[in-house]
Amino acid sequence: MDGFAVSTCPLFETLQMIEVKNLTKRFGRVTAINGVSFEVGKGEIVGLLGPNGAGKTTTLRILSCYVPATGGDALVGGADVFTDSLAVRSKVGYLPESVPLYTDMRVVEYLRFRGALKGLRRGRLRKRVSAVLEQCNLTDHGKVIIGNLSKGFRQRVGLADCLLHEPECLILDEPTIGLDPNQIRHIRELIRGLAKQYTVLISTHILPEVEMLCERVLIMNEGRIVASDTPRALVGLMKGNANVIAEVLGSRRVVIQAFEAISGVESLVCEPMGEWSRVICQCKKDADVRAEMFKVICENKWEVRELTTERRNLEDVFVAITKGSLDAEDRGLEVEDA
Amino acid sequence: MRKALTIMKRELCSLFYSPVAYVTSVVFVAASAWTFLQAVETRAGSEDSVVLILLVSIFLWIPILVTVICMRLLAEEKRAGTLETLMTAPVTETAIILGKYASALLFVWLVLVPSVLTVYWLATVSPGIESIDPYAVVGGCVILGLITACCVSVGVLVSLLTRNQIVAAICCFAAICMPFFVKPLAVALPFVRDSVVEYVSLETHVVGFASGGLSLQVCVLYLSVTILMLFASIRIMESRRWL
Repeated sequence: MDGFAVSTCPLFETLQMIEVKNLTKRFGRVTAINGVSFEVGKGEIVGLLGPNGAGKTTTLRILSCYVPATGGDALVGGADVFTDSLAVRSKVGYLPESVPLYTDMRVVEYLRFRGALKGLRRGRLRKRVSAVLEQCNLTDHGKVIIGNLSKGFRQRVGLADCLLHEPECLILDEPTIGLDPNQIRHIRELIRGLAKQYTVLISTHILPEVEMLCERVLIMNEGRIVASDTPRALVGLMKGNANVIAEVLGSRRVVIQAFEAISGVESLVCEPMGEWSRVICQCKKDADVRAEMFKVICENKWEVRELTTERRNLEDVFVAITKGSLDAEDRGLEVEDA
Repeated sequence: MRKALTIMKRELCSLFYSPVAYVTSVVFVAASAWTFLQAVETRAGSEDSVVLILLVSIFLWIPILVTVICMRLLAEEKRAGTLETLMTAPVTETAIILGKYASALLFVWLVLVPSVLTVYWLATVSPGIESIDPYAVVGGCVILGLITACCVSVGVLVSLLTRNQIVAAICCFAAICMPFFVKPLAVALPFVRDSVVEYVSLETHVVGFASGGLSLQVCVLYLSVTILMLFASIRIMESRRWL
């Protein structure tokens, strides 16, 4: 499907906030990103995942017009990042990874300066500065010199700066990196609140964060998009090979024989736990054997204290995908894109 | 233009938030005044114009003043990473360069005011000086303004080319000192015509303006170099978006 041919349709234009097609960036001989294509719809919150050096920051820097692409096209809010960069920059609130701020300024002074740069006039500037201070819980820190703030608060100042001009799209590069668990929770809550108003593209390698925040996930590896789907669907990819665990009180030999006879079970391991047996059944692809296992347990009148599917999370998917053990078709990608 | 003014105001505030502004201005004014008084004392009884002596005393310290102010302008932004937030804000490269340039030039001119006033202070305390030629002072101020405008534009360009402030300082100092050696260099080259030497010589310009003779040609020369340097800086900054 050619995203740019379709984008001539007005209805399509209103649906897509970010459209990236065959984006490539080379630094000398090193290819940072290689033919990346994806789209982010208006109002979506999308996570860009990937190991270090996957090309996440480079992609975000191109989208925020900080570095140019070597090839391909990127549109943000319908404006081309290469030919209409000023329009893109006025539609985007970008938070770089290191959150660079002028450490000699006070928080309010900094926000006033940034607001003026973003074209806000006096009355609106005053209103917006108070609004973002409140939104980012910085009201009590307005007069503090930025250099004296903790990393968590600096991150909030960076976010407040992003929100000042009410952009259509937020691009956040690792917004929780280097923060302690409490600060991470605060920033996550803040971003979750923002997702109701803005389109958000967030890069991170903290996977639970993506599961909690994002509607859709793009996984990058070695400069390419290697998976694109909802976190639930991606986790579902691993389900076929999921383990079912049962802890039953019965003759170990009979237990093993009974469970091995179930058609969905590929292999099993039985661990003795005193009188109890802990059976870990490796299931065949797409098979859910819990009901059959329960039936066997009832038929044999065994006591049971646990019957559960081992939960897979995005981390398992991430590892499987970046190590190349999942098929491209399974990851919601066209084979030629992979 | 409004955004350039915003950047200019921030730069000036940043200068005055740090001790840089205070230390630089006090040291510059003290050094140029001391040099001026020493030169006046040495040349007591000669026919040399006091304004010319003052201008030479100030020019001696200008490369250092401009270097200290300009070396951090963009190199510091690059080092601290704030250039990323500046370049991703909806602001043109022209506004960034003009804002930075205006702030540095305004500060340099602010520091020059008390240095120029030294001549009036000397006239009030020294009975030997009967009067100060106002045309010479105006001419001196004009050439001082033009040359510093030109030097600051060179400083902005150099600061843009590196993220290391020490490299920026050394290159800036070398580039600003070059015009002082134009005449001796040009004289040493036999194929350069005298009229060309006179036209580009900083020494000739200062002497001419300090005697009250304003020259449009010289003004055009310095303004052209300034505009060229600023244009080059803007294009180099813009090139980040397409290289």
